[in-house]
Amino acid sequence: MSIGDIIRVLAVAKQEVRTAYASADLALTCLANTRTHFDGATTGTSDHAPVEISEILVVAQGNLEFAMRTATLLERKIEDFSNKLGPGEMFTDPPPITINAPHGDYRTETPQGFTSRRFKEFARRTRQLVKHFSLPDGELVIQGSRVKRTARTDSDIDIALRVNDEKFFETAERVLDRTRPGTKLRQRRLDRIRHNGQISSFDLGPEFIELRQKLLESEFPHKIQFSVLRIGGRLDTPPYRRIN
Amino acid sequence: MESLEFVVMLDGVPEKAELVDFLASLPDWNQKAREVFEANGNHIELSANDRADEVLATESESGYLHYQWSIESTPLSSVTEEQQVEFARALTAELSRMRAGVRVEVLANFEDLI
Repeated sequence: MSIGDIIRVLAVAKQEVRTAYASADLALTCLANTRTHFDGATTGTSDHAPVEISEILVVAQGNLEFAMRTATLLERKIEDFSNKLGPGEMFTDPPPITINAPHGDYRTETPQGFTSRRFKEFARRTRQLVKHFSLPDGELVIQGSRVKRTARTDSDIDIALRVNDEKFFETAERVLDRTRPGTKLRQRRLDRIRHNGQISSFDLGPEFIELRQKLLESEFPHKIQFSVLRIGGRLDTPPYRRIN
Repeated sequence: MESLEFVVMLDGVPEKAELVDFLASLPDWNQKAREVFEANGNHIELSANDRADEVLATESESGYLHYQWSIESTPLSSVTEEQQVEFARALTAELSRMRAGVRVEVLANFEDLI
């Protein structure tokens, strides 16, 4: 067996891992919905059995999330190993998993890696995050690989709140108010505000990241990038999928 | 109010995979997602720097703005400034030992204490 053959076998294995991940993601959505309906139907009963069943469902959800994280790590290991074996042109990367077939209209299509129901939940929680943190009004969107449908299983989910100049600089002031003048940290923040037109989750501070974790990462086990973006700035790049 | 988050800007590590594996191997570091970790009560994210520039990184006074990677660390539990300073120091020491030619810079409200 040649190295080329091994790399092709690894490519197939990688595709299988991606398929397993997508299946687990779908199962997770079904389980979450089942739990919601079950809890709703059994609330107020004095019987202990429903509580125990609900707890079992929570454990099952946790196990599925663990399986998804394992699949992500396994995919990365396969890829690292493949890359060590030979040059990139020998490795045919399989097409990304698409639970919803692409139709070509980014504005209405469910982003890659979501079922439509799961995406609605994600959008609802994201709107909640913006509201609870009193961020300014703007266009709330998903952008990047999830919208372009080029995402890998471990790709980030890029959320942006697109705002006009006035709101952007008001938010920037809020960030700079708690950054000591003369520090390199302040210089970096100013640099990103000026050059990228970006205020990141990190810039918004610990309270924001804590809330983001509680609302989003707790349910969606991915790296989530949330930024306030200046409309027309360097990072304000389409395509977008609006979520508000 | 000044807060206790910090960023380590890092240069001289060509592959992200190497950096991810290194961070994941640090004692008491818990990997949450591919480039997301938890350690010392901090939420930590590794990212490629979209302002990276090989020339500016070495030539300009604020070259650290153009290093390849950023490691953003945000305290989520009640940590003291002293603990954060200690954590940032320990992390930079580990990263500096990672390989020859690595450059690190800590950016924080408390950076003068590092």
